[in-house]
Amino acid sequence: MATDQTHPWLQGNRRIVTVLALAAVYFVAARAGLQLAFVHASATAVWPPTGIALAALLLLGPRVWPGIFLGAFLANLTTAGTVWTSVGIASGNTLEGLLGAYLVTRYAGGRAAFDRAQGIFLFAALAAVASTTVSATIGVTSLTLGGFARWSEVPAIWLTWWLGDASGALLVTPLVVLWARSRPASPSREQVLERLLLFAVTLIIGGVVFAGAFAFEYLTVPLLVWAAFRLGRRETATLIALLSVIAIWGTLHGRGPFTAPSQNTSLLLLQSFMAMMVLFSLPLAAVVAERSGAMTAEVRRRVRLEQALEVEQSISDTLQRSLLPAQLPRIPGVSIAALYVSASPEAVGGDWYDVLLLPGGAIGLVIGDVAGKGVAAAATTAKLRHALRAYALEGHPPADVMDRVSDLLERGEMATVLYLVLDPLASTVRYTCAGHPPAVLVEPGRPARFLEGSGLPAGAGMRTGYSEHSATIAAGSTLILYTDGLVESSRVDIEQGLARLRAAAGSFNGDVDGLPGRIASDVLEGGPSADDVAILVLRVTALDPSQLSMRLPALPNSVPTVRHTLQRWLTVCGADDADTFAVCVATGEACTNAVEHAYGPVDALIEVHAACQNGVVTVSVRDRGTWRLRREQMPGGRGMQVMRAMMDRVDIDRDPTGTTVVLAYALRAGMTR
Amino acid sequence: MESRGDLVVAAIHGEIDLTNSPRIGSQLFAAIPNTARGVILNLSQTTYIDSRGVQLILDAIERLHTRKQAMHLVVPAASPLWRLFGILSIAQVAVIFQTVDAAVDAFGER
Repeated sequence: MATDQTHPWLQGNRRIVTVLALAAVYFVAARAGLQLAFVHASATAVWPPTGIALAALLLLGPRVWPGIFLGAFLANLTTAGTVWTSVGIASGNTLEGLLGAYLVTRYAGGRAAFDRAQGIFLFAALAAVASTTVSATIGVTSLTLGGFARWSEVPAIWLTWWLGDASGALLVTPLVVLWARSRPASPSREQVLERLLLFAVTLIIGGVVFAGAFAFEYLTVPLLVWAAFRLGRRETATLIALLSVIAIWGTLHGRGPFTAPSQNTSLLLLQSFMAMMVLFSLPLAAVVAERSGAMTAEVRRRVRLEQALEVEQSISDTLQRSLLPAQLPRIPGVSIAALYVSASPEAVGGDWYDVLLLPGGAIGLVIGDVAGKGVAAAATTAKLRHALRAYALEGHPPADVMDRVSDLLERGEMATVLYLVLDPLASTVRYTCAGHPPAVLVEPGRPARFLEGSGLPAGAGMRTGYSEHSATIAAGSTLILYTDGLVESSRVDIEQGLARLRAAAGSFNGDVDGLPGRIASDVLEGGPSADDVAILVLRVTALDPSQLSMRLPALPNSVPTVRHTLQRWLTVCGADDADTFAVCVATGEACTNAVEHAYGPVDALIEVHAACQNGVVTVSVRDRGTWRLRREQMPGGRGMQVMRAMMDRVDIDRDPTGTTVVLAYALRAGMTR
Repeated sequence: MESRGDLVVAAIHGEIDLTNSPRIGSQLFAAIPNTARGVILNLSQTTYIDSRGVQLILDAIERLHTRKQAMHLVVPAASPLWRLFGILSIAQVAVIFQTVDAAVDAFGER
């Protein structure tokens, strides 16, 4: 009989246990039901075993039918009947259950029948009303054939039997199925109190109504509505059962609203009352639960949607940030400021800018715009940004960098890019443009002009080779790089935009930090841009001869930047070539050591401060790195020798946070050596 | 980088420091065939050198020496490099000439 594929023996034994347990429950319920017998010992007002059988078949499947048969057989055998009548009645009960379970499963949603109002009505019609006729017919026939009833009594017994089974199905099946199907969530304190309160009120009202003090059964309606609206289906089914027990008890004792001259009338009234309770309050509870369930699902869906949007937003933000430098280098004599304005908060644009410290002390400026939007464009942007950085840091000239970057782009990827290399020492800028809007150069006392000369956008298909252009950048000059979102929009055509940009740049005389914002507001006239806007501004400023401060990443490329800046500054201080060489070499050695010791933190910095007073130059180089090796073990040992020989004085101050090297040197310029 | 007979003449323009000395070193060695009799490192156009650059030159001289190849340096009298070379006593290990021609001639004499 066992049908399980993996463990037939275990499965078979488990099934036997289930069947026996069901038989026991059925038996006890039947014996209890018989206490409520009205007309005949085998026909009662409510026959709970019918409901239990139906619930068991719905929950456990039709295979447990022997339990019902056994339970019914034993219950009848021990009541009034022979083996044969008991077999007949038990057969009727079993068939009734199987038919009811089949119909409910087929048409009313099976064990989920009580979740929806329609399922409850179908259950009532198919299982409670229709299938119970089977048991009544077979049972009454068996009893009569066995001589326990006269044929004249058959209609009355049949009706009682049928109504008892129907009531049992209506009352007990929903109760068992609802409680068995889902684990109740642990109720809060308030919910427990509310249930207790309802229980108490039910006992009071039930007592008042069915003990006959005030025999008005409609007093129970508010209780049922309370349960349906506030507590749920399970609780409503439980309340119905409780009220039914009280009503049966009162009616059996000849009290309450259902007392009637004939027992049959009384029974019918009682059963009608119970059926009405089930048919009005259970669907009500189901509808309320359905609605609140739908609302919960809707709320959940919205919350999920919001969370998804948040995640996407955070991806976009992270991506966007990763495309732009975290901070701009601060180099004396060169002021750099940038601005990025997103057209819409959700989308990641393809715009980017970058500032690089190049080998040899030059400063690389990059601005670009990848065709397209969103995460795909951002990925291309990231690729371009890092490819350009890699080639630029290798020291390739601008046109070569652009050629290589353009070759990297795959089919369908296109970008406009402008790459400038500023040599602060030589006061020149060399640049290559791949279809990008031209940079604006604003020189003191001259009208702003565009740095002309452009090739095709990168990835445009034809490989023609980019060419390099150059311009002189005197102190006080400003370079403005931007993306087309600034000058081109639905409201303003590009010519107008460029004219506005030139006007805004030429009239600005404030701090460079405020320049990108000023340009954006002047050119866009406060209106939103349809496209993302990136603005990168660089101004070459005169150096202060009294002092100089730099703070740069502790990376090799910072060393030439320090040297070159120092070189420019020493010229302002009045140093000659020999002085400059000496100070630059000594400072370079100190910086080299600092870069090498700056081990550990990724964002380690070197700080260089220089001052010139009465012809004496003092340079301090501070690193905040932890020491990897003792200085004697470093290849920089020769560096110390150089510093000491070239400078008048070298002081080294070490503390747990880093090392400071202080160099002092009296300028020899103009003196005879 | 050029060759004069069986001599390799390598010129370094601009600056030599920690950012580029490893690359210059590998480029230099890649350009010297085993068949070359010697190398002339022309530092006339070198504007800056630090201790890393000097280390590179000293390493090159030593490496070439094991291959029985010699390296001559060219540093004009006006070069700022003299100051550093003086401090580090480069003249004790390297032969330094004022012009490339003088450095080439020095190979011929041997």
